[in-house]
Amino acid sequence: MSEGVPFWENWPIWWEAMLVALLAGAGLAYLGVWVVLKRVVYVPLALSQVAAVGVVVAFLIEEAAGLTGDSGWHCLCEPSWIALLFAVASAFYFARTEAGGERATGVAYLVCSALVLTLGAFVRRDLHDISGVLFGQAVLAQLSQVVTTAAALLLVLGSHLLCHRRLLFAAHDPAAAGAAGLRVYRLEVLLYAGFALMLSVATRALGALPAFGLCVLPALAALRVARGMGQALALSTAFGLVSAGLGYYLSFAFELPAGASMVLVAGLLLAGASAFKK
Amino acid sequence: MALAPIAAALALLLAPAAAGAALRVVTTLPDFAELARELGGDRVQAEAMVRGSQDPHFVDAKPSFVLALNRADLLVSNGLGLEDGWLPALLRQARNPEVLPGGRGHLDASRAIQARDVPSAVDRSMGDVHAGGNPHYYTSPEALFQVARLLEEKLLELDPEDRAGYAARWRTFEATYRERSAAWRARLAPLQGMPVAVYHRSWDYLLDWAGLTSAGALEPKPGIPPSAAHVTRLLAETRGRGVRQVWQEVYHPTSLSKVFAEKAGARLLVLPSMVGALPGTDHLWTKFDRLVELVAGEPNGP
Amino acid sequence: MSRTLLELERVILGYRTPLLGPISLRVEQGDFWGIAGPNGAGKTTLVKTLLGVLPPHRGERRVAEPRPRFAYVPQRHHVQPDFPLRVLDVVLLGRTDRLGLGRGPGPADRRVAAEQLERLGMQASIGRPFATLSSGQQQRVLLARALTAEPDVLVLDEPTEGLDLQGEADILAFLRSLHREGRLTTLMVGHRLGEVVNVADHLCLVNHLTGLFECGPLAEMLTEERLSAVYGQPVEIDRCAERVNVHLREPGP
Repeated sequence: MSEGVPFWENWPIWWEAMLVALLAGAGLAYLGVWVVLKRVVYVPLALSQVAAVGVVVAFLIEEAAGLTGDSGWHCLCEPSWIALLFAVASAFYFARTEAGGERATGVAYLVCSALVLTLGAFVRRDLHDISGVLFGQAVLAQLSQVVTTAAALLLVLGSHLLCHRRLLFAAHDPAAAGAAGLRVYRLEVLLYAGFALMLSVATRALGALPAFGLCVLPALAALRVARGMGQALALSTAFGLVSAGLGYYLSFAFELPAGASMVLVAGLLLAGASAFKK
Repeated sequence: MALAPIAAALALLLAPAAAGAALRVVTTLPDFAELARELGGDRVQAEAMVRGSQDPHFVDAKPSFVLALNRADLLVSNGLGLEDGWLPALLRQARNPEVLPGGRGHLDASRAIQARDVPSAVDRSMGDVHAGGNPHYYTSPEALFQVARLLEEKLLELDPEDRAGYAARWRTFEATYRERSAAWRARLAPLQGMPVAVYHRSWDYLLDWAGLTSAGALEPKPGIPPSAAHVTRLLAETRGRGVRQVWQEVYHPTSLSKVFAEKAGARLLVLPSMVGALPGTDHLWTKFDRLVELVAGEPNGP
Repeated sequence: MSRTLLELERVILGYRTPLLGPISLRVEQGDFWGIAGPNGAGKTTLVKTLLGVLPPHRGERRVAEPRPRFAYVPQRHHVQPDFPLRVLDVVLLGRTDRLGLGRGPGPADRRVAAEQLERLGMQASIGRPFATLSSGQQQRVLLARALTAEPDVLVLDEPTEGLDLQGEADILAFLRSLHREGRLTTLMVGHRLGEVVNVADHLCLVNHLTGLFECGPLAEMLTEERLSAVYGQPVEIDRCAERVNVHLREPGP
């Protein structure tokens, strides 16, 4: 424990950050199982670029319309909301049958990166302004971030609870699911939209590394040891919770970067799961 | 990312020296370019490589910079290791011995000031600490005035033909500085002794000049991301000391400072550390006008 | 009187670019259609269009009212292999469209799934991970999933691909009995013409490379001229008892 900084006594300072990490960790790890099984683990990278385009577009609108923080219209053009909108809207692209794979991810990443730089030349602000909107830190959080993360998690889990079997059938065998009358494209949109929502909210709260890490590593660990889909989802969620919670505690205790600590704990869980399987 | 810097780079690359300009001056920081324009008038064509909104520790080297350095009569650098990550490579490629360190056309502006926080020894455990001391003296009006004196001497040395013109411009500059500096101090006087928390230790020279005190930095060590424990400790300290303001540059992330300020019951101020860092700070005087206005705006805090 | 379950009228197949057509085809209740053609001839595209998974490039696909229930057994490699699903989980997916939102399978669904697994001789593997099964076993599980849906139309895409001789014979015998006993309308793509013509009563010959599409009752379709035209090589048909053998004609002396 850090000298003079007891962990539990300082809970009023860190509780929001811990809660945000736990909620985001659980949501990302749950969705991570789908992401890993569908073999689209690089979609988060593309999504962050799509969101960055949203931020640049918001900046452009602000400047073109002369919107300021005082005007009511400014709220509608809030860059973080536009970024979220762009990320969620990209679900329609990623959900296309042939589009979910590596090629689509690569195309989205490259085109959006180029768009950010090209459109960015027309706004007065810098790249760090875009990063400032998109990427958070896992050290401290506000109550509003707890509420936003919890709302995103509830939306994702709620929609999945309703459509679990349909999502599973469509992901496992899209052609057979389509033949059985399921709306496969809509289900894919639901999956990617939930993913984009949770990832955007988590990235804004925790930062890019922990969001990506908590999405992939707990799911990989769970899939090493799980014997069924339900077990995989439950274990991955539990691993996400442990990675986020223990990672935050260790970062506090040993003065380590919070996001990186969470990813390292998730990595250790994966190593443990691999050893357990052997 | 506005088009202005692109245009500036193109001008730097293509334009011949302005009619009548005797010296081509290239500076690392925009504040030094402003000083050169103030002191050199139309005898000087000055361009900066760093934009006010960029982190001067990390600048992407561009071919246009190499060409500008190749043609330059004078390079003004900040020194104290601030540009160590990118300037030496550019100088090697520029093939202009005049502007190399020690050359007649190289001015290390840090020679004008007394550096703060000079470490007795440096190792990696101290983070991105600079062996020569804290390099962010350009946030202080007084330090920039001292740099101006040094620059005036260097310009006269390189362009002695217009001695009278330089002298006249210096008088104007000094008078303006005295007048503005007094106004800024007067504006900040009610805040004397006020403790301020910062993100990166870029503001120590300014705090000294303004008579304010540092309550600590969010970065535990220069360039090292804040940890939860460090921030908690700092928060406890700042609450005890009644910190009302948290300062940071435009190029550092505000996500943590914002929450920190909220929890500390303080106000986060994103201040222009260099000329052009914020809209309306395109001149040396307007940079400090805006800075002082932001700091002194609400002396009693949120 | 037989009922028309599915009809294609002057349909041009293809996802973004036209592949084959215009073609017309009518599937009556109780038919067993074989779909044959060389590799890459457009057979899977035709099947997906029939199923409604792939919209026609042009033309009209009509389905009877009330809509018949379709079940599809894809080529095995089209199924995502990494999912941690047990055999019963996979088979129960066949009941998905019968379950309401947020509802899981009940005892009746499990009973149907168990019955189909038993019919296919997979009862003992009910708790095994799907991914650890052999090719033949996986094929039977996918067939069980399709039958668990209690479909009106069963569609199979190369169900014997990659199976050994015994596995192939078992699957074909099962499909034949399924059709004879239950009059289940079946559409089967076969990569080997010989297997298709011995189970189907109607035949579609497809080759988009030559623009050829012909379909009709097996007796009409099964001529050496037609088959030679589809495969672009001289084909010979031997009839031995009730079995039809199709092979390339050996070059003369």
